Amino acid sequence: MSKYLKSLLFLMLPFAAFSQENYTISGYMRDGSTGEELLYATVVVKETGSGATTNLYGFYSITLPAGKYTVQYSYIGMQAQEMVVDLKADLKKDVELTSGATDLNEIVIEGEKDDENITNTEVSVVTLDVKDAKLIPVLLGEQDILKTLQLMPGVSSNSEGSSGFFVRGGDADQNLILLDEAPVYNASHLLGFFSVFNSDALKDVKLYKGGMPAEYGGRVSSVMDVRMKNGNMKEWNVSGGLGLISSRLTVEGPIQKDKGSIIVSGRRTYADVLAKPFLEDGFSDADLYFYDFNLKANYKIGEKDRIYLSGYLGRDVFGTDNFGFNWGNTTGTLRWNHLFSDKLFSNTTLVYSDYDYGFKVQAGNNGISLSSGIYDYNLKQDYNYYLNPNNTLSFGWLVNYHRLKPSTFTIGEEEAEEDETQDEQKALEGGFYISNEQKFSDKLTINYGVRLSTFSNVGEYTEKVYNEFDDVISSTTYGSGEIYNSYYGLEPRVNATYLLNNSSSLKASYNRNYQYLHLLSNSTSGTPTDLWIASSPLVKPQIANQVALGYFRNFNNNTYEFSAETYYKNLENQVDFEDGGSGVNNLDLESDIVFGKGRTYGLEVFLKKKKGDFTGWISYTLAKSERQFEAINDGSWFSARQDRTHDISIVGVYQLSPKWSLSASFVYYTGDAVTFPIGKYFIDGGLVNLYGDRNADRMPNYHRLDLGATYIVKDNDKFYSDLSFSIYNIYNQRNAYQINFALDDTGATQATKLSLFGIVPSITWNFNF
Amino acid sequence: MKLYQIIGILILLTVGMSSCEEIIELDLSNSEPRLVIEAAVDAESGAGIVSLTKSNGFYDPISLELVTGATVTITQADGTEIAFGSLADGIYIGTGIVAEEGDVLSILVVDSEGNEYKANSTTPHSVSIDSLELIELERGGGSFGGGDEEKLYQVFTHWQDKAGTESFYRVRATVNDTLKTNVYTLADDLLEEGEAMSRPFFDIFEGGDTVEIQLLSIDKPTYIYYDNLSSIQGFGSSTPFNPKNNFDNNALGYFGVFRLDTETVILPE
Repeated sequence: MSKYLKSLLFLMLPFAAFSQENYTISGYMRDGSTGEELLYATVVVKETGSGATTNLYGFYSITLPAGKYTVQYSYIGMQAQEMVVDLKADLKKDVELTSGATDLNEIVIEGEKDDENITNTEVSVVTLDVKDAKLIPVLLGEQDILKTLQLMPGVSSNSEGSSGFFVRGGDADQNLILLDEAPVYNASHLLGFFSVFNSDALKDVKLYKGGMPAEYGGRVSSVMDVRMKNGNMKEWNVSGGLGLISSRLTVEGPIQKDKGSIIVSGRRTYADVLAKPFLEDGFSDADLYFYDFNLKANYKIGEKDRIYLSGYLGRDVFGTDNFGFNWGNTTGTLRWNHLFSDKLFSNTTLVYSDYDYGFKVQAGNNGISLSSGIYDYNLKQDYNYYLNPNNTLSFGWLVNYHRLKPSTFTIGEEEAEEDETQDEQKALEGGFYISNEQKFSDKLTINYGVRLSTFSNVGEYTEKVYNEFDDVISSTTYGSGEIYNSYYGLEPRVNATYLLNNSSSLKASYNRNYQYLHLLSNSTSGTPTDLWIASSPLVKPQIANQVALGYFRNFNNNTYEFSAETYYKNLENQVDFEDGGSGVNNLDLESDIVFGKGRTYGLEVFLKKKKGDFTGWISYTLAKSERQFEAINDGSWFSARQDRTHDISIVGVYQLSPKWSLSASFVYYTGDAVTFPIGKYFIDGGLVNLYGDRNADRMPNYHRLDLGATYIVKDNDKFYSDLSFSIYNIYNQRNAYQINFALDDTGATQATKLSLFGIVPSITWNFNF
Repeated sequence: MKLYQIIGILILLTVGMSSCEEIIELDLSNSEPRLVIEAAVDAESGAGIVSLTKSNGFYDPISLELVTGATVTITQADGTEIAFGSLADGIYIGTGIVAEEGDVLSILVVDSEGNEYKANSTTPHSVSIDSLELIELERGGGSFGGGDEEKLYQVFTHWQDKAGTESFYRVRATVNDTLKTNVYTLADDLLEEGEAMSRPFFDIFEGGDTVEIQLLSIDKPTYIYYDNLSSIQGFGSSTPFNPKNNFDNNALGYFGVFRLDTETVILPE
């Protein structure tokens, strides 16, 4: 297998060098204190200037002609290591970096390779350090990587306090959210106020706003790749936190030292316990909580093989006597890393993911209940082939079997009978990709690739054709297992970096993405009842084409990092409900969908201070996002709800003393595009608002300042604890969450602004031992 | 209660004490006044009533501008035209309209400036109430409001769906001869084709009330219109829009032919 692949690749790449004897240095890079693999860490050969980056499993490989070299290993926030090698044979070198103490045998150079942002081919990418994100003040002290991402250029929040996000004017369903390679279909808890990601269990987060590598597919606007920690390989460790609305606990440790480890992490909120005294009689027995559970285990079977098992389980529960409401995600990932050779790394992944919700209202003996879900079964393989210092190939394939169960609706006495209102949709999504990161010269590196995606609807299913009045005019029934409709997409992806000098570069990217699953939402806030549907003969796949151009520059010995990027993205086959459409109890769902297109473009400016006692960043986005649907506003272009002209975030963290650190964050953005009334009239004895064009009006502009402080109570080898204080919305700005138009007591019409959070202080105690 | 209303309550619960509402003054653009036509024909009695009003600005006083001097004509399926007379300012009535099940009636409204507005409606099948069922609501534990003295009731209407045809219904109620407005209890037979159907009126009543339940059989466009109306009057979470109606020329309102059955009950105190 590996031989065959090799010869195939060599045929495809005639520029591969054969003239000299070449040897390979390969291995893993790890955190010396925990044994966690370091992702995207850097390896540089000083003599040749060539380098490599560790992959998603911490593996690197560099092939060089025989000779003497100085190899430098580095990772942000850790002390770099240099090693002199006399390369006469293939060499295995696993490296452990530490943040403090040094190994006597190695020369330590601090932070020399801090210009990764300049030299890599990544454009439109946001990388988050989960540890750094913990210093930023947040609502109710509940750390959330999604909220930190919203402070980055091109990423905006769904609404006040929400963990939902929009990337470069795209819709919420256009973000591919992966947790250990398993797709997460609804990343929010408590109606969006918290995300499903428990920071304690996470290692690394990367968000691609554009220029997605060919290995990612299935969504058109962004990819958010979240990786869980593997668990401490060296020693057992317990960490956790007590907060105002939730508590967390994580236990991790070696199954067998340096061979295998396990991590278990849990979180539960107790909003219901706290809220009870304030609730009206009818709600006093209400359930109101969510929980998360992360588990990951890994084991090295030998030199070449390693197995990972990871899972996530989370659920939200709301309910009283009269109604109940719950939803949640479950994901499971089984992975097998295998080294075919020191140049060919492979990973085989089996994924299960589901998202479902249920809802029930009971009135006397009569009840209405509905449930819905999406279930994924996914098998894929990814390969990294480190051909030579100038070419790194990635290729792979995947098959993903989707089962989409739209709302199952039950009505009647005591849940007597179950009526399925919509057919279950089944579909097979496939993908094949190949890409190469090629260094053309010292200055020019291009990562180019292509992804072929396929999508097939699988029976049994009854396909309906509708007339203009939404009446069914014909229907065709397909048998079980029958493939009745297929789509193919060819998705070229190119990223290029041109180094202008040591501290600045120009980058450009083009990507074309296909999306075969769509989220239908008839609310503005994003609710768990939003419905996922599959492409079908009627519903075409969404397509995005995006170009981006960026200038990157570091100042003052890489203390400051600056970037400016512009992008243009067009979106085809956008879906939306027609006015009044709803996914709930709708037999002819597809008849309520309208199709259109979108365009978004903007400028993103980012300035970050990375070193010193004072760190932080300023991010500014100037952008436009528009949609066009034949059935809306007479077919003219209109602003998407998330069209925010200006979006500014300022974040600062100051290390006051070894024990105290202070932080602040400020956000300002243009109000969302919304639809306001332009008049009123009476019908059926009641007053009705006359609405203007879709999204022709604006919510008031949004701004808020949060402050935070962290005090380290104790920090020694055995025990660490800190107290984290935060004040959300310090100057008590009453930002509009929603504006309602209704009659007041005197019968006059008025507009009422609803704001959710005033000033909200909180305190959290964190520990680690 | 619509789903998003419940979600709305949950959001408020979630944020607890922190949320707040305040009245704000918005600079809203005002549209040109538009004609609002509310036209209904009772196929049982052959009587039609049409009211013509105009929309005004959101912050304008609540006063109905009645439209006078218009002509209203209904054309029956057989081509016969029924001219409406003016009963009062803005109110036009016609009688002797013949509408059998499946007949398509068309209406033409011409205002004093000569602008024409047209719509069609299909005559639905007849319907009759089998029974009304009263359910007394528990006090204290329930999540419903009301004084402490009176008993509270939910009223269920039971009827038999006509087999072999798509049907749409609306349940209306008057309490002590006053029509309950802004309550849309709608039903279709999608899941209950030809079966015995039952719906609670989406509001509660107090002991001692005289409640008249009206069960209307309506056509699909009217059903969609009411459904749209009810969804934009909800919590406000959905993207607001103007209801899809059957009039042309930018007129607001609807034209619907209906059949109805009524049943009255006095709720025990």
